[in-house]
Amino acid sequence: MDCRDIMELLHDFARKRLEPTLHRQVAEHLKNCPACREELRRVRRYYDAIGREGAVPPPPDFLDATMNRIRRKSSPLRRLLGMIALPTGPGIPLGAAGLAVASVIAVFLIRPAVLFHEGSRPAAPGQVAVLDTVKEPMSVHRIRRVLRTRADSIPSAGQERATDSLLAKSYSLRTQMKDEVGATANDEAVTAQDTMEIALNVLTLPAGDESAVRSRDEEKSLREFSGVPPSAVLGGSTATRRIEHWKQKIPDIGAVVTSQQGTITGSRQSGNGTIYQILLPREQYGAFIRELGKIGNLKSPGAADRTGKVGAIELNLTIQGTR
Amino acid sequence: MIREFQQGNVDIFPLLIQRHMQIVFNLCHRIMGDYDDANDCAQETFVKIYRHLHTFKFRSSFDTWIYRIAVNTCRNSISSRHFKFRKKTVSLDNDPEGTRLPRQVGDRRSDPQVQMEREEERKAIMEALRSLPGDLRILIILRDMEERPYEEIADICGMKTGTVKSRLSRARHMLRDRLRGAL
Repeated sequence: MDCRDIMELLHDFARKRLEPTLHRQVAEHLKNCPACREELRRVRRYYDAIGREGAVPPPPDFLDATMNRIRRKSSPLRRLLGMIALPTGPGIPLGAAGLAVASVIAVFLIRPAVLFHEGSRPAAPGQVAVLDTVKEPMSVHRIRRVLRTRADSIPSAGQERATDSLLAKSYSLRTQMKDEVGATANDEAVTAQDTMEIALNVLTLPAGDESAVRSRDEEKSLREFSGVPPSAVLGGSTATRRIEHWKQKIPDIGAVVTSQQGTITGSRQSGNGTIYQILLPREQYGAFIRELGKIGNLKSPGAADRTGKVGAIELNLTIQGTR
Repeated sequence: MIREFQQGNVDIFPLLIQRHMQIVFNLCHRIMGDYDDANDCAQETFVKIYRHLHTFKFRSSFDTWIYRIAVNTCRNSISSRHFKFRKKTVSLDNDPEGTRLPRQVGDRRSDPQVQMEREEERKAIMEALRSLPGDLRILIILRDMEERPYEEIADICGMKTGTVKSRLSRARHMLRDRLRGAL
């Protein structure tokens, strides 16, 4: 072994972590090599110094603050978002995979209000009151606060005011998914209505050919289509394969609605998506959301064991109560 | 405790936090180099542990699993736009809040001159460490400060043992260059 090899071993030698034979070889070399001995001296001073690095205790309120954070992040809406897990796979950078799949998960982009109704409007008895869609990214708490304020501000027929029960709710949440798994949409504020009208925008995905090798232009358009930022490096055929994979997993919306005693009252194409209007018994809302949440089962094996996969997903949900 | 949690007793989680918060916080502090960032990452680590604990299959040790989550949380934070664009003014080495635990008084500390020199040396090392790229810094922290075996570091960081060794070697060369004259 020459000096270069020895220097590679000096850290483990200094901490007595080498196998006995190797340890003896290094010790033998050191006897006759001043340069390596000098390096060993530096290594030992280095360990001496970092060994003096004291421990830093967490703040006294760490436990309480963490538990509060857990409760806060386990709110129903976040749990729904969390159910939509991000797949990863070998050969795809984690960030890119997360981002790409989060984009593909736009299969459940639920963005009705902005398409069906612009702005808030008064509700007459028997009519549907609609609130603005909250478009800007904000926290769930902030969204709730805004929506409650808006609901209160809508004058209804007969000068009644909506008070505690929201006639409509609308969420728009753009969040970093990271690896949050857990959650379901908030339905606690939907009260006293017989039916709810829910509009879903289910993104239609293009047919993909797994074996096709895409040109750069096709790749680019695919990225644009799936919403993956240009910075995300994702091969064309890989992207297609991914999209196909998720497409096959998309639950049949009709079946989901029927199973929850709902009816699809209308649908129309909008861009790449199909907008469904669904009438649903109020008491089925929770179950319906849970059915949607089954998309959470799409996570790749072992995905939950990993962390650090980051992607953005935008989810708009409007629940309209009739009165 | 873990099995109990997995069987539905979530009330046990605070106990689990108490048992691991010191090592998690310390690791986050070493990686992030800032008390508030460490606090944020350590809390986030436990949020993730809470959410994913039901998936823990006992294939690796629980400590390794926690380390993996903490390291990835810190990595995410380091690579976040917010972190990158924030002007960091607090050095890894500084302890403005006076939060560092008092160290044992050793015999070498009795001489103020020696003590000062050692302190300077420690500061130089921590500063050099902080200047390393995030991933290399994490490897150095796990190996040299946390004293984790190569195999476990590989598991925590999701890379092969050979890769860990070669990157560690690279990190140490960089560190050595930056500490030239200081040690």
